[in-house]
Amino acid sequence: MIRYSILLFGIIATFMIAMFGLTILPKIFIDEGVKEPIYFTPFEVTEGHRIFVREGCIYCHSKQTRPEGFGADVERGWGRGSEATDYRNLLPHNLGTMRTGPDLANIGARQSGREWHYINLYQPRAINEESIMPPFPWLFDVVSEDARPGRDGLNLPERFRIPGKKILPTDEARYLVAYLISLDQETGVQ
Amino acid sequence: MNQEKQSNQNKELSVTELDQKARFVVLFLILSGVFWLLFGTLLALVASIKMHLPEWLGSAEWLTFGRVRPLHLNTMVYGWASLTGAGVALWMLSRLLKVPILLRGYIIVAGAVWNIALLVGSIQILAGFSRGIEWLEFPVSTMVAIVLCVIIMSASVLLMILTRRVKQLYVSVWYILAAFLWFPLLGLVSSLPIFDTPTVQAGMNWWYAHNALGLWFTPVGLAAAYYFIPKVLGRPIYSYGLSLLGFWGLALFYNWNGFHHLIGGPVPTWFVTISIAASVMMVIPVVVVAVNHHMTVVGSFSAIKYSPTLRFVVFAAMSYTFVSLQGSMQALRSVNEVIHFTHFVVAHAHIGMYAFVTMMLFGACYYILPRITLREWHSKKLIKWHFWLTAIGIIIYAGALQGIGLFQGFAMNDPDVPFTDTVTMTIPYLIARSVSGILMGAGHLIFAWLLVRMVFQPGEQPATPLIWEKIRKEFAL
Amino acid sequence: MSTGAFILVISSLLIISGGLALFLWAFFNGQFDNIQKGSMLPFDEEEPAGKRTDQIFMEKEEGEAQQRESRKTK
Repeated sequence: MIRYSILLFGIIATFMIAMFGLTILPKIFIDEGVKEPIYFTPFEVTEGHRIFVREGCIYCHSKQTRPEGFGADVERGWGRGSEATDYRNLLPHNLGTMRTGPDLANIGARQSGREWHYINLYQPRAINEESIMPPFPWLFDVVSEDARPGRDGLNLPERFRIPGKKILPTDEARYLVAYLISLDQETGVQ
Repeated sequence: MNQEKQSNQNKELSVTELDQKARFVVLFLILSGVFWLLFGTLLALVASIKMHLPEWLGSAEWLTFGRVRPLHLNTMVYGWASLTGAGVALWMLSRLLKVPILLRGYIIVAGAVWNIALLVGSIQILAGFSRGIEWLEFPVSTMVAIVLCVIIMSASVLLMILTRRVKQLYVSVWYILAAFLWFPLLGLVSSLPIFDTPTVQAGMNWWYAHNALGLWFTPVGLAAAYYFIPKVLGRPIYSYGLSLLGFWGLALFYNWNGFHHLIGGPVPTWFVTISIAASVMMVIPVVVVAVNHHMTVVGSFSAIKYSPTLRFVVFAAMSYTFVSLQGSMQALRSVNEVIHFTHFVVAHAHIGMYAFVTMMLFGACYYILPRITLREWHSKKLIKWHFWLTAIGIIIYAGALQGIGLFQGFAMNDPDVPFTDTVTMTIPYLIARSVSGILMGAGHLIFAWLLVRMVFQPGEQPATPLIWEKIRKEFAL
Repeated sequence: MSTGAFILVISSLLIISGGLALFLWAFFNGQFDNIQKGSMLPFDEEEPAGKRTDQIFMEKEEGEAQQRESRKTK
């Protein structure tokens, strides 16, 4: 019985101590500095974050740049090393673990134009022939050329155009792009 | 119920009787697990093909890569590996403690609820309601349901240990007990809403994900290795003392590994360093386990020819050593700088979950199923096909993606290489992965067919008996 | 911050000395004598050590020949 209790104790103790060390302790250390800044996060950005999570962007794009001297993130122009305060307290964290596509921590600074993002989301191969990013046509409306006058469709290359139709971003596309453009390390908080 | 209690106290149950009592529960769990294996394999193929053919099914919102890929992970992890692992673990426990599986009725209900939770969670992820945390994409409702189901099994485990008919607990029992305590704790803590800032949540994320691997799947896998290798060969473990050292090494060090997923990330460096140190310390229990298994098998490697269980189990045990040592290396900053964010890591994860966990579970199933159903495997040839398809499949997978992953990492760290080149270079190897996936999928279909044939269509038994004579005589088959 | 460090150090010392105490108890209580007998736990009268329990790919005749061989060498 004593041996069984020691086994039980050992199993629970080894787990609890490490749990405290790796989840509670970081919380104590990090939370203060991160909860202090007051983030003014527009509705579009929070909605865009939600759509970013929904479509699973993190499974190809990381959103954490490594510091100078570790990897070539800085030399590639992907931004400075990411810090805890860069993440605007939007949950889930989507730091990402794959770079099938480029890192997005500072994408808003690299690509600040909405049109570029819309085209990239609708048909990535219109931007980069070699891209393997999936298309997201459901974020867009395909309407006839004459519908919704005053709104211009996306300026797609010839072969991706649909004759007689124009492609307009839906609200969801707008939110997502607003979120992507907000990912800018220079504006203090992302 | 009272009569059963009385007979439990009065007579010792034979191995066959224990197996018969275990029959329904273990079958239910294994069959559920195999269903999710097939479903998860389908998702895997879709995701893999979409990586090199992004336009394929590209206009279906619910099939986009970003939803299929996490569902593949979650169904394989919480469906296939967890359900079958639980069934195998409970069966082993029954054998090693000489008590029938307790709370059988409750476990069956738990299993049914678990399957429903997986189904609901799967629909939710494809519909876009993923929780968005890697390894925790199932909504909290699904995770809580699964944790509650596991807690029922944990209660059974504890009761079985308390009412055991053996004096000493074998090392496999230690691992199983630990697994069934650790996993509910992990599931519960990860579902708490207290991790409410991004980097803190990231820390919890990777503490959880790595611990799910090392404190749930690894112990069940090692428990199986420690049971089946001696059982098949009829040889006791080389050094029992080493096996205890291995267990405590795992418990001490594995818990701290999590932050090696965040090397170079926006968390305080000293947390990361602790994890790197713990990851390297893991070499000790891993080598200890490897030596133990090797020395037990050495001299009897020819037995692999005649035992499909041993084939799968030895393959899995060797893979465990390989993937763990590789993992310890990957935690070193200099190595991590190259392979982080590349396909190398994806392959590493699959060597762990497939070449180790899945192959171990296959081996366990080949041993367990004839004994609980008292029926033969339908075809030796098909079993061999299953082994070779899956073994070659995972070897191609690992070789292709780890090979190109290294180059991808080097290229990414060279700022003169345009990023798009780091992607194009991987395409042929991603195609190789899809091919390997088809091989593995074929192996899974064969396994499922053998299972269904054995359980639901006994028909004619093969001419040469494949299980040992005593059972057939005892049950007058 | 320093109170936190103080608590950390004290609790670490407590836990480590607790673990050490348990280990010493186990050692002096004879828990580590004859560990190797634990390796016989998977075996019993029905399935004793020395008998292989899964050779299902072996043809019946091969199996009987092997059994005769092992009986001879015994």
